[in-house]
Formats: sequence, C-alpha cells, structure tokens
Amino acid sequence: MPADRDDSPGRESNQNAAISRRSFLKGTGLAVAAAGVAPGRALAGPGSDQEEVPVFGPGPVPIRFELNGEEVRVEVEPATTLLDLLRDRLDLTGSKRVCDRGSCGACTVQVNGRAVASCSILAVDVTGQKVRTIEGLSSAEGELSPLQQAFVDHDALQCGFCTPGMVMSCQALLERNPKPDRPAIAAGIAGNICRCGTYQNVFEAVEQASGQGGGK
Amino acid sequence: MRSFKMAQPRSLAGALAVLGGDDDKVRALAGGTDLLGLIKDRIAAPEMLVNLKGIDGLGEITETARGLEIGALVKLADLAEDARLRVGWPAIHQSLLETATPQLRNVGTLGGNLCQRPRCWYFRNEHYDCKKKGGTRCFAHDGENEYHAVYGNGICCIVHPSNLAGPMIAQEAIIEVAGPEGRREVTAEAFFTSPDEDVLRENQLAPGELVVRVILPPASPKARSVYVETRERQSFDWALCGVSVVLTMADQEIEAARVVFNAVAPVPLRRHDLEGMLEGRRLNEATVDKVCLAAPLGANPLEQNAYKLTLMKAVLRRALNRLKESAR
Repeated sequence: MPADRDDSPGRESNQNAAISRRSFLKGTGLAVAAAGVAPGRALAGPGSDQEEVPVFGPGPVPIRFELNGEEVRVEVEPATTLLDLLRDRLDLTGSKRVCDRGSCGACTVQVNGRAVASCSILAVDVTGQKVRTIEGLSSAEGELSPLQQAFVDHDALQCGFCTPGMVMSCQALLERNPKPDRPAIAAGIAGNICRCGTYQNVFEAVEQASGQGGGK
Repeated sequence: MRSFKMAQPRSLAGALAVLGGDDDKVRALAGGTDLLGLIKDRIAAPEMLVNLKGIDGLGEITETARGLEIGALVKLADLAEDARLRVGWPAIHQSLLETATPQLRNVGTLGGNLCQRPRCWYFRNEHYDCKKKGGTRCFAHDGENEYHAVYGNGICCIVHPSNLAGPMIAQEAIIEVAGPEGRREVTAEAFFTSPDEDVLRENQLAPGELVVRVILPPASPKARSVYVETRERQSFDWALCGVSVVLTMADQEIEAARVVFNAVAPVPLRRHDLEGMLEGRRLNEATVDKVCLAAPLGANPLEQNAYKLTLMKAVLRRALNRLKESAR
C-alpha cells in the first residue's frame, strides 16, 4: 500500500460507499454525455485525499469509438461484449458468434490493428480505440480488398462461417508481417478454427495477398 | 451475460479500496479473457468489476538492478515480443509462444494468466457442485479425468492452467502483491497453492489482493533454460504435459538444476529429486536416460490419464536434449 494511503478509513465502509452510490461516469477516458446522469462520488473516505473512483452501470453508459473509419456513439451496458454490440446493435453481422469463449476465432476483429476475439472483450473497453471488422475491408463500392479477393481466388472457404474471422486474423498478420512464411501464417491463424479444413487454401490466399506464390 | 457494474479507478490505491474483500461480489478485471468466460458459464457472478486497465504504471516492462520488472497488466503478446525476455529468460519466453492464441495474447495479461481459474470441465460446468466450488465431491476422480492431475490429486485433481506458472518457478520469479494491508513479495514457488491448503483457490492471494508486478532476477550467465510442452493440437490447446528446465553449468558439469513440470498436478510440480540426480553430473546421454526414467516417480494416475507418465519422460528428454545440443 502506498504511503499516501495510510490515513485511509476502513476499507469496508469504502466498499459499501462504492457499491451504494449512483452509477455514473466521469473523466476516465469513457465518453461522457448523457443528460440526466447525476454526478456523484463513487468513493471518498472522509478527510482523505483518496481517489474518487467512478462507478457506472449496470445500465447503459455512453461510449464512443472509431468503427471502420467512422465515429460511433452508442450506449451499452458494461456487461455487453464488443461482439454483441456489433451484431445486435450496430447490425454488423459479419463477425460470427460461435463459441463465445475466445476459442474459435469466428468473431475476430482488429482493435488498433491487432486481432482480438470480440466475444471476449467488453464494448466499454474499446472506448477511444479503432475497431475494424470484416465490413471495413472492402471499399464503399463493395470492391473486395486484395486479401478478400485472394480468398475467393484460392477457394479458401467452404461453408464460410469461419471466414470473416479468418480474414481478419490474416489481415492483422499481414499488417505486422507483410511477407509471412508458412509457419508465420500458421501461427497467425492458430486462433481460428475452420472445420471444413481449408487451411491449405488459406495459406495460399495469404501468400497471394502478400505478393508471394504467384496468384491463382 | 449477467449484468454488472464497472468501477474505473485511475490509481492502484483506488482500485484496492473499491475491491474490498468480497471476491464473490467484486472482481478485478484485467484482460478479461478468463473472467468473462467464468461469468458467461455462471461460475462467477460478480456485482461489480474493477477495471484495472486505466491504472498507470501496471503496463510497463523495465530493466532494473533487480532484473526484469514486468507490470501485471502487460499483455502476453507484448511480453512475448520483448527481446530482453527472449534472451535472458528463454523458458518463460518459449512458454509464452505456446500460450493461447494471437487473439487472446493481444488482450490477456501476465497477471491474469497467473491468476486464471482451472479448466477442469466439472469446475467449469455450473451443474457440478464440485469441491472447488464449495461442494463435497470431486467428480473427476471417478469421472472423465483424461486431462487431470497425476500428482497431488487426492482432494481435487485439476491441473494448474497457466503455462507461465512452471517456467516462472524454474526461473525463480518473484511476484509482487498489493492489498489492503500493503505490498508484499512472494516467490513464484510459494505463490501457487495446492488443494490441501485451500481447495477454493489456486494461489495465496487473499481476498482484495492483486498481483501488481513480476520480477525476474537476472539469470546466471552459466545458466541455460528451456520450456517444452506437448498437446493434442498444434494450434490453440492446453498443454497435456510440459516441463521447464534450468541448468547452471560449470564447464561440462551441471552445477545446479531446476526442473518444474506443468499440467500434471494442481500446482506446477517442482522435482527436487530429479534436480539432485542432475547436479554434479555431465549432461550426456547416460544422464538424460537415467533422469528421464525417473520422471514419473511418485505419480498416482487416475483411470484415464496414465499416458501422462509417458509424456513426462518424453518432454523431459526433449528438454534435456535441447539443452545438450545448445551446449555445443
């Protein structure tokens, strides 16, 4: 415990204070707006200079983030995953909900460029961050990205259900490693399960998209 | 997922104050890749999560006189890419590469990895009121126990789920803990606790305490270390059996040895007996044969997991051979 906390009051009363206060949101990087949200203190020991810890939820709280290049403002409960926000509220159903436990990769999106299982992070945690989904890869006119085209060219899918997540993992891989060899591709898609077994074709598609392996 | 409130502290003191001491009601949220699964599976039902991600100073890796100091909120992907770790603490680095998936390593944290709950399917199923959840039975004892412990499995036969836990012990890591009573340091070896100490938890964190930092003391220049694991699939899977070996060499002779198995017991299993067999000997084929033969001594396999005894011999042989080859 840092020395500046030696005057702290009993933590039990602190905790009770924290739990009984009105939920609100302030100055933590989470976008605050919402008229009608009463300010309040989540925690303050009397006579102490201890931090007031904002507590919000369980009801909806306003958040703001960048989604496929555009700013999104939306209200979500703290218990909402990014995947459920994307699919159920923002109508972006490309990211798939399969295992909902981070095991299968079908929900993969990019957060600040990195591949992330959107089922296993909370929507409030992408506040202020850049999220890209499979819908953000093609152009506004619907023209496929080179990676998407490579998946088509190499038949890198059969049923297609894993494909949005698989493509997003490959996209994140190529942004970090523009010329991955086969072991690097395998490591990059180690979190994506394809039960049709099209891994071989995925390797070829990534090689085409990265300018290796000579196209179809 | 069940609803919860979210506290967003900016300081460790603030986080500790809101955490309080009731684990059932208030839980710390780091990366969340394990905690959200526990909530979805209705194994945990916190009323409030304390989000640690806004706290300054927990997400850094720094080199100090004490060694490499790694904040608990450092993401596994960032740690895996740290060149200092790769060179100085190879067993930990190698185990990181085998941990989870790119998606989970990009979110999961060091502290969260060390504190994750077991993967036992009876524990993870809300309908089994097992000992680890406060019930009276271990369902794996007479049930499906293919992936369970072959040592120390009398009360509860989970295996510790963290890949990093074993190499942390082998490389003599120190874990710094903060709580309502202040800060303390504990060796990684003492941090993880067995079911006979307290079946309800897997480490010695008291309610309201947090892992805030891991300190890796500088390895001896004469030390060589390695981590080897085996699993059913090459992509995302948990280890069936793994081993971390650190050998300090004096010329051709092994001066000191540390051997820690993971995924065979409820805590990482340090093997003083095997270490004693290695010390004072040359690292040659005869030594490797002898030590590997002794690897499964003392095991008490369940109905479906005796294969792990063979795997213990195999991973230890691979590990020692790798160190033998790197000596040339």
